[in-house]
This record gives sequence, structure tokens and C-alpha cells, in this order.
Amino acid sequence: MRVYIVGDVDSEVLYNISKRLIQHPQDNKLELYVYTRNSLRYMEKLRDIILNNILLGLVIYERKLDNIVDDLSKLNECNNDFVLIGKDIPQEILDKLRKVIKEKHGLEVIDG
Amino acid sequence: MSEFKVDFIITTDRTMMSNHHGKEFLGFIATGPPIGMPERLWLWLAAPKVKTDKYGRPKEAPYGLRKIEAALLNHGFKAAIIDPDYIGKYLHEAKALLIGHHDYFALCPPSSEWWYITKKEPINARSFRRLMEREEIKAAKKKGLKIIVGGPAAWQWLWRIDNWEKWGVDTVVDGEAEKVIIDLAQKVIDGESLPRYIYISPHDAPQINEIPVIKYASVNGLIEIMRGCPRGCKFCSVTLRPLRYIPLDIIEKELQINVKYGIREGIIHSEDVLLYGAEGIKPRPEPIIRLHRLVKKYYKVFAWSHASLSAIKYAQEEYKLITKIAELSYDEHQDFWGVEVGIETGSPKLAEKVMPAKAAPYSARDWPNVVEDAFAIMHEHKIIPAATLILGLPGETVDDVIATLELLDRLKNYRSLIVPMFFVPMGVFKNRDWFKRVHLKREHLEVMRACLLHSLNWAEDILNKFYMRSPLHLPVKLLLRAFLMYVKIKSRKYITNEFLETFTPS
Repeated sequence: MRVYIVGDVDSEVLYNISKRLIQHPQDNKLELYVYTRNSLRYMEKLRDIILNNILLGLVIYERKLDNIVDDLSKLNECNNDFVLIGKDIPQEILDKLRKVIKEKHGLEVIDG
Repeated sequence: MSEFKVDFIITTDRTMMSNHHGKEFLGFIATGPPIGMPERLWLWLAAPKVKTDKYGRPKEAPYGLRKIEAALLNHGFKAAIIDPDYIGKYLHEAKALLIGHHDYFALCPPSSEWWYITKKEPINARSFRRLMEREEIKAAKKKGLKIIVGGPAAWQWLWRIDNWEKWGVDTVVDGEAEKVIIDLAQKVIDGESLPRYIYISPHDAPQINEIPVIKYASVNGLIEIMRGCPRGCKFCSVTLRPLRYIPLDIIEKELQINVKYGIREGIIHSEDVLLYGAEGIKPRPEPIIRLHRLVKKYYKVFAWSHASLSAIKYAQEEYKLITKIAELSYDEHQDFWGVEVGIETGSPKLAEKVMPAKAAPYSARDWPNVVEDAFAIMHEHKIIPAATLILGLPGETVDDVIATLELLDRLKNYRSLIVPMFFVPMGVFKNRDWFKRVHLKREHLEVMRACLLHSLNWAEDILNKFYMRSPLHLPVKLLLRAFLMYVKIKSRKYITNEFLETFTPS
């Protein structure tokens, strides 16, 4: 299962989502793609996910904010994947992001 | 410039890259800050430089690093373990620096505890920081060097994100990395971006046939006989891993590798040596005897890394197995062996809550008796345990700590070292709070005092009768004696009742 975390996502939203994913995993692996401005600050927010997880394989990728639209466009299959949309996303990227999300089936969007 | 080139430098800092004078236990000295002597001398006592070849490849290297090295070499990557003093020769051309450690930031027990008590940063963390802040690493990093860190202390980077960023660590790998390192290495070669963090789940842990045989000697001849542990103690991370027994033919290959490089003494590594080939949590004599016969065929002297007290009691009471191992092992080279054991608590109530299977096949209700019986068996057979206690386990009450004190009193006549440790969130408890100095109660101090008195008393006996009897070890032995004397003098004021009376709980 893939989770795309875009922009500055609220810690509480992230924590609630992570609990849900970890307690009811769809498969044995969780891939988190964090679209950020190149700072590791987001790892502090992800720490709760990591510390509450025992059984799931977890991989965290850091991507540039500009890549989100391209990355989602290239997705062939979205199976119970999530996009968490946070704050501090330039309007232009946000518009394109909403558009590409609409075209993809099986992609759940949560505003955080 | 060296004619020997490596794309993947595997290394660690000096406190890990050492054979600790051939005595693994001395390595624990690096978990404390220098006390009563200059840092250089302290570091030499804990972790002297290891012998290397002309390329800077250490004669002995930490076993975990040897596994990563073997995995990479088996897949055709140019990789080598390089002593930290020599990495500068290779950094300008290398593609990645792979680092492993047991305790990067001194957050594990007992480092964290020494830090809290002395208020001084332990030497392992200092030494690691010095490694990471070397100009040659910074320069290589600017030219595109990737840094991948892992090992048992990988989780600590989650609590040191500033350092993660400052030192330019690209990827943190938490878990058994023999498989995943191949994908990462390929990504490095292909210039692909690396993940920031990987947690390897039990599903993805390598199976026996995916664990490579080491290619060169391990520190103090350590060889692994199994991975994982079936006891499920909530504070332990090892128990989350699947249980796997390494077949004897593979163990023999690693023994042969060590002997080939001149190592004739070694450590049998497992979370519970007596569970090798066991039926659940009941030791079986046949695999244990075969294992020890095999080890003694190659090593003059062995030690166990860890064993459970319940397995020691069961093995002896059911099969006289401890006596049999001693009989086949004791000869002109060996007349004792050491082992780490976990007491953790003297309280049956707390044992039932946090480590219900640690006493198995006995009841957790019987835990203090299991501990004492096992200590008696070890004392009789000259097995010297370094035992741990955990203070501040989740759910611990004052009554639990008092029960631990009572147990310590029962253990005072058994040769052993007992080290109290503050609870560090790991295993199922990894999302819990840390136990800190501010949580200390008077009863905790009493436990610490009892452990100090017990260990000081027995340390002298162990040093005089068992440890480091070779004349080559005389300087280290003298320094250890001086250190013991210093600790005795300095700790006088802390072990008095007057000091305890002045302690105010927070």
C-alpha cells in the first residue's frame, strides 16, 4: 500500500491514518512517499507511525514537491492507496494534483 | 593512492572496530564516559586499534558488518570493511559509505544509564560523532558519496533527526539488511534516489539460505547459531524476528573462516544459546552437544553471548546438560565461560505482565526461584554471568522494585556481575516512554546500590581467578584493578544509608 504525503500534513491526521493502516494492513508493506521541500522535519511526524508499527515492512521515500503530479500520473494501478494533502502547497501544483487524482480510481484523498 | 579500490566502504567507529583485547566484555567500557582516567586511556582499555592489512582491512571486524560485506561481495559489488583510520584512502572514489553500530548515540542501555548518572556523554557516542564529523567524509559527501546506516541501533536516528540531516545520511535501514542492501547498492550504482528509511518486517527478514556466510574473521570469533527468539518479552526487539536455526554445516564454515585468519577463541551468538535446535522453549541435548563439540573442534575457548535462565535450569534439571557441556569443554585451555543473562525483574507479578514466557517452561510466578536456581547451576559449573536488570519497565510499582531487591539478596553468594539498566522503549514497547533519571525512586537507588556492591565484590574474584590470565594481558588487568579501586573509593558516599536518606523522589 502506498501513501502519498503532500505538503505539510497535520500530525494528528497522520497519526490517525497510520494507526488505521498499521492495524488493518492491506498487505505486508507500507510505502510512504513524502513530497516536501527537502528537510527531514517530516520524520518527526512519521516517528509515531514507525514506532507503532511492528509487523509491516515500511519504506519512506522523500520526493520533491514538484514531482507529485508526474508521479501520480505515471501510476498504473491505485489499490487502496492514499493521498494526504496538507498545507503549503503552491496553488498551481494543488490544482494539477486535484485533477490527476480525479482521473485515478482507487486513490483515497484525505485533506490534512 | 591505493591500488585496491572499493565502491562500498563498510565501517564503524573505533569503539566498535576493535577486538577489545580479545575480551568482548571489555567492550562495554565504551558505553560509559571516561572515569578516573584520560579519555585516550579509557578508549584504549575499551577498544584498542585492531590489526589491519596494508589496505586498512581489519583482521577482525564486527560480525554484522561481515554479513553485509559477504552479501555485497556475493552479488559482485566491490565492497570491503575498512578500519575507520583508513577510510580516507578510499572516500574520494567510493560510491557509498555503509555504517553499522550497536549504539550510535549512547541511547541504549547501559550507555544511557551511565550518561544519566554521570551527566557525561559516553565514549561510544563521542567516538561516533568524531567519525561522522571528519572533513574527509564531508568532502566526499559534497562529491556525491551516499551514506547508509543500519545495525541494531538504527532506530536511534529517529530520535536524532538533526544529526541525520547534518551529517547527510541518505538512508537508515532498520532490521536484518542482508537482502535489502543488495537493492540499495544497485540503486547507488545506477544513480537512483535512495529511500530515506527502511524498516524490514518479519516477513522480509532473510531466510537461512539468504543469510551469507562471512568471508573474513569476526570480532572475537563470534559466530551466529540462530536468529530470533520465541519468548516474546515485550521490551525486546529480537523477539519480533522470526526464529531461524543456522545449520551446523554453515556454522562450521564460519568457524573455519575464523580459524583460517588465526582466531582460536570465540563467542557462540544467539539470544538463547540453549534453545539451539530446541523443541519450542525446551532445550534438547542432542543439538546442543553437537554444537559444542563442533565449536570445541575449532576453538580453544568459547563463550556464550546470551542464554535464558529458565533454559539453563531446565537443561540441567532434565538432562544434566550444563554438566555435560562443561565436561566436553573444560580442558587445558578453558576452565570457565561467560554469558549474558537477563534477570530484568525480581517481581513475579511484573514478569507475568511483560515477559510471561521468559520463565517457560516454568511459570512466571516462579521467576525468582528460576533465577536463583540458574545462578546456582552456573556458579557450580564456573559459568560467569553478566546479568541485567531493567528499572522502570512499563507498569512497574514500588513493590516490584522491592521484589527485585529481595532477589538480589538471594543472589549475593553466586559469582556474577549484575548491571541495572533503565528501560529503553524497544520491541512491543517501542512506543512507550523512556525511563529517566527524573523517574528514579529511592527503591531504584537501593537496587543500583545493591548491584554495585554485588558486582564490585565479584569483579575482584573474577579478575583474580578467571579473567585475563595471560601475561600479555597484564597491563589491561592492572588498569582494570586500578579502575575497580577508583570506583570503590568514589562510590563510598553513594552506598551509604545517609545518602539514600537525603534522596528526594521526584
